[in-house]
Amino acid sequence: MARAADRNPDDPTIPISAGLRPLEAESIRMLVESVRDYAIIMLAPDGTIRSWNAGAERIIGYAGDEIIGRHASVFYPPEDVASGKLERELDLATREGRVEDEGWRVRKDDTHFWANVVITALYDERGGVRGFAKVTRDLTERRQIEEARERFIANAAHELRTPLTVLVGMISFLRSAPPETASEMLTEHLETLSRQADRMHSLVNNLLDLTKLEHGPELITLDPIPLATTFDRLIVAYPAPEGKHVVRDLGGFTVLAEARRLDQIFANLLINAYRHGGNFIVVRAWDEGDAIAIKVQDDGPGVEPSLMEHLFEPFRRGRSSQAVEGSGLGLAIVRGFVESFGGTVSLDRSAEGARFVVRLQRG
Amino acid sequence: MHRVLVIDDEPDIVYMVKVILRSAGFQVTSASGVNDAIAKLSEDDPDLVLLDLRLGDGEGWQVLAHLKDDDRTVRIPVIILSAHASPSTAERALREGAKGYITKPFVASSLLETVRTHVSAS
Repeated sequence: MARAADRNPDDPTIPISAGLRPLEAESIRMLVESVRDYAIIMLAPDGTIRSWNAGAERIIGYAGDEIIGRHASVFYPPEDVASGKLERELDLATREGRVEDEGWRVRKDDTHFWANVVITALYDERGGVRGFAKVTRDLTERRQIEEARERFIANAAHELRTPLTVLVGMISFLRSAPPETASEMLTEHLETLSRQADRMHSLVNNLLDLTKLEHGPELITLDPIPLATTFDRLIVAYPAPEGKHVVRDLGGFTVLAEARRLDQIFANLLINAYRHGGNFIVVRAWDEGDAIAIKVQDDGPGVEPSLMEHLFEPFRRGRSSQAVEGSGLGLAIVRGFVESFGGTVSLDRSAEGARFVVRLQRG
Repeated sequence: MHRVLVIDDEPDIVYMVKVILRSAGFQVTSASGVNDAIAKLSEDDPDLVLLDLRLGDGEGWQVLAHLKDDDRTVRIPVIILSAHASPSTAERALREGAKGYITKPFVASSLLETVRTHVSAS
């Protein structure tokens, strides 16, 4: 068996096969080449790409013959190229043996991906660097989930801070009032305090509902529930504000659902229509064979086009509706609950005003 | 009587600020968005502005820039009322001409103290 030092230093297969019998070396080369979840590439001491595997092609987009021989800085965003990031990493790997980094990298098609990169220096028998092994994982999806979670928490904190501000401000004001007027003032402002406390309560409930939904399917029992009696109850609990009217035509349809969640779905859609719609809201059900469709339609200005795509995501609200009380979680919960029944919810874009259509299994 | 214009898109926050400041003898008017605020600035001729950064039709930064660009309003002290507690946002506010920065939530006494300080300084 030839010693590693006798081999051609430009041969990319040397580092991983050094000291191995040819058959083992060939097996390892084939193994590395076939790995698809990791980009495993070999670099020369100056950063030139020497080998390329299936994972590298899948993640970064280049075929081996178009990238071997080019410099590995091609995967870095321009600002990292300008600051000499790869060179610094190779220096560090040379001194320390290994360097790990997470950051944005660039694919062949110029799209960015969030990469975890480990660069390991490969030394010859005299301790000189003969190249580097670079293993890259595409963690874009995980990164996007983390970013979405951070946004969600920041938004939740912001939404909680508004009612909290009113409560803290009003309570500190009332405490500083002269005792003889405090009771009168408390009565005067009690409604505001109570409204903000309710708002925090419903926001916390909504956050808990959404968190439960995110943890995957919960075991819920679906029962046949008549739509008409559900709406009879909801209209009492959530009456139309003054000047607004709800017209109902639910026939004798029954759907498969869990009662509390079904109430919440239509309560949220009704509240949405009360807040953003005009004066008339129509709730109507019809038969679609396997499914029962229920629409909640208002005659308001409709949904802003820029909002449509993300309408059912948490904390998406139209600019014009910022002043309208609401947590920004109502439609996300509607979608989560409808899907937990095996149903769908959509916004009918062709309609005037906003027309939401919920489709549930016939009960 | 000193006039204060409060610019916030949350009706109950505006209500709370009005209750607190009126009890101390201030005359308070309000605006809920960028365009509304810009109109009220010339109508109400306030001695001090309390400004939220997140408004229904835009950002408080736009109102601040408008205020600082106009000779008639450049001297009005602006206090930012914001849910953003980050030092960098507060630094930006001061750099762009605000006189003070109050993080939500706040107690009545700190609002009154800040408003009194800047009204008397102006």
